[in-house]
Amino acid sequence: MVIASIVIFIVFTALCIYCLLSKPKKTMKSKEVDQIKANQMAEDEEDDFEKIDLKIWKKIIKIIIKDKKLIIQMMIAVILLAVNDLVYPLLNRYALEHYFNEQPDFGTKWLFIGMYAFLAIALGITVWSFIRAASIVEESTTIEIRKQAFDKLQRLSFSYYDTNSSGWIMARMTSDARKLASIISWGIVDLLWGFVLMIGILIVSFIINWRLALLLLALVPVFLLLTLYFRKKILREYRGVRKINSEITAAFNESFMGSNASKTLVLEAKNEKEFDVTIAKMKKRSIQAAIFSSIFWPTILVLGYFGVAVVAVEGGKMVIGDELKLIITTGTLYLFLDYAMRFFDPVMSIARIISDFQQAQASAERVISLIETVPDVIDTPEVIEKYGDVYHPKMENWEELEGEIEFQQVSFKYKGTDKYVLKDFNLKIEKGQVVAFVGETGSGKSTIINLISRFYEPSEGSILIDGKDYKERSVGWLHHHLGYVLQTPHLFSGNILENVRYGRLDATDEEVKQVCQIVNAHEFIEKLPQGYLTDIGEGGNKLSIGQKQLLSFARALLANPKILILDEATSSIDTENEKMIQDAIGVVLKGRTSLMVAHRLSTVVNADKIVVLREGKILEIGTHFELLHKKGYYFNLYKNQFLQEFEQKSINSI
Amino acid sequence: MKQNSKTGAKYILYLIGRFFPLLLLILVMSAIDSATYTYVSMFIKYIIAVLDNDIHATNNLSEFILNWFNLGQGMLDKVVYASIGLFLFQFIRGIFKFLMGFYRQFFGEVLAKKIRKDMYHHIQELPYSYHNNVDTGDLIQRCTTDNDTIRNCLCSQLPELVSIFAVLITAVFQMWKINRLLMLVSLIIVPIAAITSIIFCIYTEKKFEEIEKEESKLMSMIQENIAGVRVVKAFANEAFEKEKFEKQNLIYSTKNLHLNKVSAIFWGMSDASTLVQYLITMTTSIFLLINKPGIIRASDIVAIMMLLSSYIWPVRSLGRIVSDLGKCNVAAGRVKEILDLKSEYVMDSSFQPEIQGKIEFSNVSFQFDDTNQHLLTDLSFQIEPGETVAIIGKTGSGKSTIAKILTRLIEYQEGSILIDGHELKDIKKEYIRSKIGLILQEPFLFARTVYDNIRITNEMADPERITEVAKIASIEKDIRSFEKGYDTMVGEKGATLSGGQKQRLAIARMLLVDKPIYIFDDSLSAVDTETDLMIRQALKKHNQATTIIITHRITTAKQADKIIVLENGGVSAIGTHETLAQQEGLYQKLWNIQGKAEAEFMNILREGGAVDGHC
Repeated sequence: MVIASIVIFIVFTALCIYCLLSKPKKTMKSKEVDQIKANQMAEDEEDDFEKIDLKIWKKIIKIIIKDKKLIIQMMIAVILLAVNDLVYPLLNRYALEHYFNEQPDFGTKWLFIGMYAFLAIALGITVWSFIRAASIVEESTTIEIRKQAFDKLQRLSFSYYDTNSSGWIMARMTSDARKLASIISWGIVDLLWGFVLMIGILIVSFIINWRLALLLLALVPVFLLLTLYFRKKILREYRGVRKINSEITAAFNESFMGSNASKTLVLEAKNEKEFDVTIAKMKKRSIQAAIFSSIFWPTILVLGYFGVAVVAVEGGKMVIGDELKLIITTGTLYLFLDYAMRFFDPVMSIARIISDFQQAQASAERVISLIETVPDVIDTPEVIEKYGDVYHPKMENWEELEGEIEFQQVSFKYKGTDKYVLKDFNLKIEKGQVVAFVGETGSGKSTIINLISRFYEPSEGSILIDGKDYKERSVGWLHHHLGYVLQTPHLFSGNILENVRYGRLDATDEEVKQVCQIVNAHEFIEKLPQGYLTDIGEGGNKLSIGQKQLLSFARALLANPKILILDEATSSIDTENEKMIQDAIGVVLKGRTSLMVAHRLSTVVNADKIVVLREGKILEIGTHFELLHKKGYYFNLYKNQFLQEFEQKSINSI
Repeated sequence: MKQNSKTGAKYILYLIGRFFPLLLLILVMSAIDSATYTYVSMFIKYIIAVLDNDIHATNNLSEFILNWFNLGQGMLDKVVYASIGLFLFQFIRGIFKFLMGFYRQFFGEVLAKKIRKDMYHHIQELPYSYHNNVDTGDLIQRCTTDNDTIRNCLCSQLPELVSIFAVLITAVFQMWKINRLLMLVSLIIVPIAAITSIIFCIYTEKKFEEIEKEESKLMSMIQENIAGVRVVKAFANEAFEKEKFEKQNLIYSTKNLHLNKVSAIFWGMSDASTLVQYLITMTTSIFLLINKPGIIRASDIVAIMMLLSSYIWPVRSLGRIVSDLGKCNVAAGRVKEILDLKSEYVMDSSFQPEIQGKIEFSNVSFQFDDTNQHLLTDLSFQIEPGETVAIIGKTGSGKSTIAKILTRLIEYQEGSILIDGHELKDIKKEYIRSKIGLILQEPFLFARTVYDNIRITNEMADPERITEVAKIASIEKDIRSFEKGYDTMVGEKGATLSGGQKQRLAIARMLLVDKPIYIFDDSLSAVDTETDLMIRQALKKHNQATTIIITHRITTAKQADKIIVLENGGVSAIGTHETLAQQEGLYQKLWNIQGKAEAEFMNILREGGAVDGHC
């Protein structure tokens, strides 16, 4: 019987292995298709199973585990828990052997009860301590991952933000951080518990009866492979379901956003028909997935009980003690039955964690890649030595910045591309000058701004500030003297005071109010319910764009920068607010080198110098009127805009 | 909130009624599955009893089955057949479990599909006024998350609840047959575990809300930092950001950790109490044995211990189930709230007259329900079939309202509008909309290819026709310049079209079907004047429909057969360009100013020259 059952299991195991091994063949064929799909999947961040690479895990653990003691504490608690789970069936066996038979002997009853009570308390304590320890590990890992990633993000240069969407970066800080923290805490807990309990059951079994123990051992690969196989299969099935589900959500979204279009185009019936097809597809796919997921647990159960039945028969024989003369008690038999019935628990938990690790590996790789990214714009060690770094600036060594900027033979191309956005560019901006850059999208005007701000550095040539290559001084030094106003003003959650103060963190309330008055923002702020302490909502959403823009001017003004950059700062302002903004600009520009990029030409007319750009080269340069008289590119651009704006303004001004 | 939970309960009852046979099947299957589980311990009990020579205690199902087949005379035979019996029993239960699992998910899908479908269809039919003000995010949540909550409640939590009671009842029954005192003692844990788990769940949920708040704070902090990277860097505030972030990171994690620490205490005590229950049962039986030897056999205690473990875990999950069921009520209320809103087609007429394109407004007034101010007052004018009419006015003069009234997106309260002599309110909504081509200033394009976006109004249109309308709308060249041409995807995942391209695409889409009436609601505002003119000339050549152009561009209005000037929600003048330009009023003023634009520009040039000269 034993031999027969072992043979069956071996055959079955072989089958399972065959199934698993034959799998890669299929994926090889469809690899190209998968590649294409992978691109689409990227945004859904559904990770497939990877072969476990211990190096990656070693690295990530090295990066994020600061306190090894915690992990050790957690491990000890879990091992104790597994031992506990192992011991108490032994206690039951003792009771069966000593009390529940023909000749009971109750002499040890108090000791037995005491032992049991001790075990109960021990269980309580181990459960408490392992959950506690694992939670601490989980939280401290999340904190650490987020902290290091955030720290890196502050240091990373602009090229990083260009190539990685904010959604992608967010996902590293959220889902990846969570996934990794959970697998490093609870994953290790489950794995260790499963492993210790499994080995423990096997050892105890071997000591008491090796033949029954062998039987249990034969079950291990079966459960392991079966669980791994089903988990992959089920996860992949549900991935398909989730994909359709996101289609459905998208359909809902489109239907709500486009309800006017649907009504006026009379598309309701058509929409409904299409939607019905999608949800029917969803139903079909889900039911298909349901078949798989429903078959898994019963299969494990039936197999498990096949083992239980064999143990019962073999154990029964031993109790009766016929041919083999291996006599065991019914208590021992029950112990085996008990072990056999709970054996699939630890084995399955091992399998589950293995597949979790396979899945989470991609998260680990991504987090490592983020944390190990080297910023493109970094100061040399000598510069850091003198001027300090981002977090520890040595302001005492900083020179004053005057505001003279000079481009010397500057060429620039984005990393990984061959096309120059800017080629052999030369331009000198005097201290205190207002210079505007005009041109189509892609003409290079934003690149110039980014180069001056040292968000990027020239590929060739150099930029001098006050006559000295700006790489010879720190990024922090430059940024400290820089003010920046964007097209879409970016404000932070919090109140107005905090937001304006962002320009200079040590400014007093009075100073904040002063700059608000200068840019004409004071009036509307005072009208708000809590004045300067009014919460402006996430991203300042409770304010109008014009109001937000005024605040961003105030913020820039507070910084009292030597160089001020206005990046399309007026293009999203409606005509009503334009006057106020124009006035604010006038105030803000005074006494500093100012650079603006503008779509709306009405803002640039007063500039000292207008640089008209085309394909990275200077097309025209001069003052507003000089350029108008030239009757060239600028003339046409301005004329068209003037007439259009005039038309729009006139109808509302009557 | 109270009202909500009432409608929620009503909706759940409705769903239960609707799917009663399927739900009943699942509940019965769950009950059978749990009840039969207790028989597993009976098989084990039987085997132990046989091996213990304990014939009195074998009066149970497995014995009964074995006797039925007249099997198992010797001790070993009995054990072998009982073991085979146990395996077969679990095998059948396995198949049954598979079916149950499958039916549960099947039911879940059927249910989810119904709610999805009902919601989608119903929301589409809600009036313009609803869609105009609705929070889309919230609505989507009702269609997705709330739907899932209801589904989980009916196809998993409810069956689980039934399972708990089924397993408890059968276990009690089995224990009753073994020993009543032991049964009573073994039930001590049930109320304790149930109550503590419910209390714990309530506590957790409350804490969880706080944690979620902190988490979303943290998330928006990261989001803002990434989105505002220019600002952060330009003001050199990296250190400040880092400090701010780390503080919130710690607050969130500490709160989370605190909850986990409390959970650790709960689960530790809960697990310990399980063992205490075993101990109590064991101790009681030991003392029973001391008093009365042989009253409890090894097989009995084995069975009782197994039965005990069969219900302890489910009872401990009661708290989770109860709290999830509570959420279901709220979710159902939120879904039902939408389904109870009135569809705009409920009271609609079915009148579908032939339409030529004559439009008569007499004394039409309109105001929004929630304001006293009239948006349109006493509006009267007439448009002949085939006429091109421009409506011009300032922002807020009510221009766009006319377009919405004509398409019955909103209903006028006073006066009458006749379309070819038929009162507008008497004409079927979908019918009149299909006869009026309305193109809005900010048109909505669907997330599909450019080609499909044009074709959306007429699936049967052939490719030639589609290029033709694209040409009329002056968008053909733009499309050709796209990398994928007509196959370019529109929307978030595709190409970003400029405002003007969107407008022209919307025009092309509308031109695909011939309509007696077209309304351009400022729909060429993002197109330059020349293209604007080109499109209108092409249009004129291709059809003879009544065309209403709502605009603020006097150059656009100028060419119309008739110009209607709107001021403060009323008509201030009607006429052709020639007559209106002579007449004192808004139009004349506009015309004068507009005409001056060129001169003004030259003026600037000259002025500049003067200033230049000074320098």
